[in-house]
Amino acid sequence: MLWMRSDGHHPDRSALLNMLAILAAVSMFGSTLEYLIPKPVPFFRVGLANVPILLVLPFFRTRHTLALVGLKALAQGLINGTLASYVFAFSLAGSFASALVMVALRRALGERISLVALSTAGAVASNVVQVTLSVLLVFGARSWLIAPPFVTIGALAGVAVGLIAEHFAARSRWLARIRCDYARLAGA
Amino acid sequence: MLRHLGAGTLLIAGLLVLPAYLLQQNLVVRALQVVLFAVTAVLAGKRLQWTYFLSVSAAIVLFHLFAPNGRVLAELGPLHITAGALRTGAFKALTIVGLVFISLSAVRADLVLPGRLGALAGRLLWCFEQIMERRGAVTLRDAARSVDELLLSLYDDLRTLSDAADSVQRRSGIAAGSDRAGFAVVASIVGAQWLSLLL
Repeated sequence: MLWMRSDGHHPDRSALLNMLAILAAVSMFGSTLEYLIPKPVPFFRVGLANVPILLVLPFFRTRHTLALVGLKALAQGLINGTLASYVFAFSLAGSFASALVMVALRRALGERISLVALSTAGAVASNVVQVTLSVLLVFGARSWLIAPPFVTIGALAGVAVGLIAEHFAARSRWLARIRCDYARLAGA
Repeated sequence: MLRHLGAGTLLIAGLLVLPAYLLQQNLVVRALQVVLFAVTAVLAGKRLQWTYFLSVSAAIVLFHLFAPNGRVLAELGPLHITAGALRTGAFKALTIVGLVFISLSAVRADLVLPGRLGALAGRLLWCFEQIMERRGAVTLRDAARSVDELLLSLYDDLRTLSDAADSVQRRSGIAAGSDRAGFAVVASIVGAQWLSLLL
């Protein structure tokens, strides 16, 4: 494939692009599935697109995790048709806030923190940032009223996404391969 | 016909069509767009699984009927078929199916994109297209294992794609560049999508 060869002179970079591409494509597929599920609450998202981020969080470098988060947010915007709206800006801010909280917790606690706890903390961070932005920029002070149920539902969704990631990570040969290839790149 | 166009031209056309497609709110126009992109996907040499797309669309619509919204059109036992739920379900089903058709039409295995971001975008779109094409292999009963196997095979294919792409290009006789007629057809398809927003 010609586009593979455009980077063929640098096999490490090409391998990293392969990993990011397949992980972002899985996020995009997660966004597609979510788009099809009716939302019980406006703006609510389960967060299936976050599963690939959770899977690689334990071994990806921060800059690669953030690159994946950016790709995920773009994919979500594209699938949901919100790319040219304030919803995309909120989603982007929430996604990066969530990623930074999860990376910080993982760095501070290492193996002692589970994917479920990371996912829950990330979901809460994302929802708090999105509610704050909506209060400050769009809906006004009265919309603080929606914060408690919004954050609570988000936290429950975070638990569910964490459980899915935990279940998959424990069994996946694909993830083991990605982890092994990434470790080889990092060591090169 | 679309097989005689360059892969870059097809991708650019797909990217230009996407915003117009996603901004479209008219259900009838959306349905016509989906039919058009199904045709372009077939012309691009892709095989469509019609029964799969129909069953997925039906499932999405049915799923939305459980969240009643708007005027009640009919009652089937406890299920109220409402106009709003029916429209939302149909619109979402058409949107997703159309996105798949656009992706199938616009992304081809011999796609060349410049730079690192171009390479990443090309691979991402290829992976997404492959996931959508192979998702029939995923079973609900053994979801984790079947998803894992799909991703493992996709990851392997992604790593060994160079040789495969050459053979695909030789086998299907697809073009490296675009002729004027092909370019005019694609430009008119893109233009029509943007014009349809005025309806």
